[in-house]
Amino acid sequence: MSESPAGGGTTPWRIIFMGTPEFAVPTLEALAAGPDDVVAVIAQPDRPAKRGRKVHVPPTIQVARRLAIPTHQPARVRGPRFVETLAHYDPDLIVVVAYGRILTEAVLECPRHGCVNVHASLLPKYRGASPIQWALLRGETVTGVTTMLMDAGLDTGDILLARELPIPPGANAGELHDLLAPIGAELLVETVARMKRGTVRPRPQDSRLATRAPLLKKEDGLIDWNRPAREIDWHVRGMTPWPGAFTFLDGTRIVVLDGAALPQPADAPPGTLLKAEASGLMVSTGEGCYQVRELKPENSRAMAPQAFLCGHRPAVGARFSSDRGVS
Amino acid sequence: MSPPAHHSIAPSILSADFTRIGAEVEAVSRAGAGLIHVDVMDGRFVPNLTVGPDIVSAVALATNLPLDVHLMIVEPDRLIPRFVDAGASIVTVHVEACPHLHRTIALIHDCGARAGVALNPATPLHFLGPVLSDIELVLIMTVDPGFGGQDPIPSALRKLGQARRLIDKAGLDRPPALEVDGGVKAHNAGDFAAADILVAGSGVFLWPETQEDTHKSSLDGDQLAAAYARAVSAILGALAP
Repeated sequence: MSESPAGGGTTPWRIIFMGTPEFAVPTLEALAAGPDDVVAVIAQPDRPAKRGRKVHVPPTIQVARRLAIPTHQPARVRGPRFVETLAHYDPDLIVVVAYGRILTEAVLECPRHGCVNVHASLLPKYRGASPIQWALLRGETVTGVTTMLMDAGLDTGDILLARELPIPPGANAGELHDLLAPIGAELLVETVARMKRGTVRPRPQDSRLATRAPLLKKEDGLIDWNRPAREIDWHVRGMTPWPGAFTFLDGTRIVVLDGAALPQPADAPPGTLLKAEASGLMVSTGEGCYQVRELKPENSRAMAPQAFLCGHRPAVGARFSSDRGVS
Repeated sequence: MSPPAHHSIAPSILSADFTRIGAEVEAVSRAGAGLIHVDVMDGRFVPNLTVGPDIVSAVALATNLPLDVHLMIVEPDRLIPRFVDAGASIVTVHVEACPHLHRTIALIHDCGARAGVALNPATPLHFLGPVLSDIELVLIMTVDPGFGGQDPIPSALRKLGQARRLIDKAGLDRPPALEVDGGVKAHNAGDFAAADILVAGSGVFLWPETQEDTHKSSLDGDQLAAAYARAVSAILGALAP
């Protein structure tokens, strides 16, 4: 990597990288390709194999192995042993991206310049485990990434840099994740460069503006057809790909993968199938209609409405419901 | 041509109160701005002289938002590293000042910043063609740069629409953002809707209610931030479809 003509004379920092999922990968790769030394990569332990699947090795560990960086996957990060492991590397900085565990004061104080977190929202909004999904669930039109000097609270640390991203209309959480991950990498690289030069100042968050983004559970995906169509659209986009926005029709659990809110009024009770055509399944909602454009019935693949109509013959007037019902 | 769904406002510190630039930048950063725009002028490329890397450092320390540094200077290559060192997130150079634009863009990237290219009102758009896929920002000037408070030149506004079409038709994976600077105010913001980012100097910092001499200097940080938030909202409101 050629030396940057700017920032002459600063020695490379020793950086420990803590991160587990795919979201963390671009940041790790950008750091490793830059002027600083990534001395270790720490991630959650491998996930055991589910039936018919291989053991899941975290994407960050795979990258670290490819780059010949030492890795650790401790089961516990509270307690002195983990701090000793970190101290052994004599880190200037720890970068944390979606690691998946809250860090103790002892860990936060270990590196010379503290721990910097890359958080996928514009803090103090959407503090918590699922910022990308909650920005969509709440119908935001813009989100972003924030780098934060970590403290012992949950995403409460002082803000270093922030960059906003307009949410493309119709984007779901998976697509937004893929847009935000490289931005997070760029923002973190800029943050570290400016920390080294002393041209960034941490500033406290205004907790009056804080909102939460708690971890989602599978059952949170249930579609409430009583809500206005545009909120159902937020729900589908925020819950896709995981945990998935689902409903029930004729006893079958169906995941709604894509659709759109339409302004035409619905003259039927919420959840009623108004029209079943190749372009979509029109469903009445609390306000307006929602058109389902891609769906995945249980035990089937994802399909377009046309394919669904071939295999199933939902009657106009059938009701989407919140459970399998008695059939 | 469909205008972007979301617009960012980039307040320009050119119109800020330099006796307390830190407070001004902090306040406007809490007002819904997307970036902080810094107009660097050398008295040669434009007839006015403003700030250098040292002030940019001060601004960088006063905000978490990206610093959008617009170099209205001749021979920018010599100073680009110093501006990135000072905290510039984006460095925008003028096509009219860069005989070797690819080299300059590569230098900005090597320094670790994003690269923008700016065009004065009389400069044709086709100068962008050879570099469009290499840059992160296109800046269309709708006034001849040098001083704040000017009204936009109508032919330059038409050029903004053409720039939108040029970028959209290029079909790039990561198209550059389109930024406009020159005469943006709340009452005419709709004319600039083709842009992704609108620079507003006097339109934010000299927003009417802060213009009365006694008032602005007596406002504390929160009041200043609230006043600028109203200015930013007024501009964004005029852009809403």
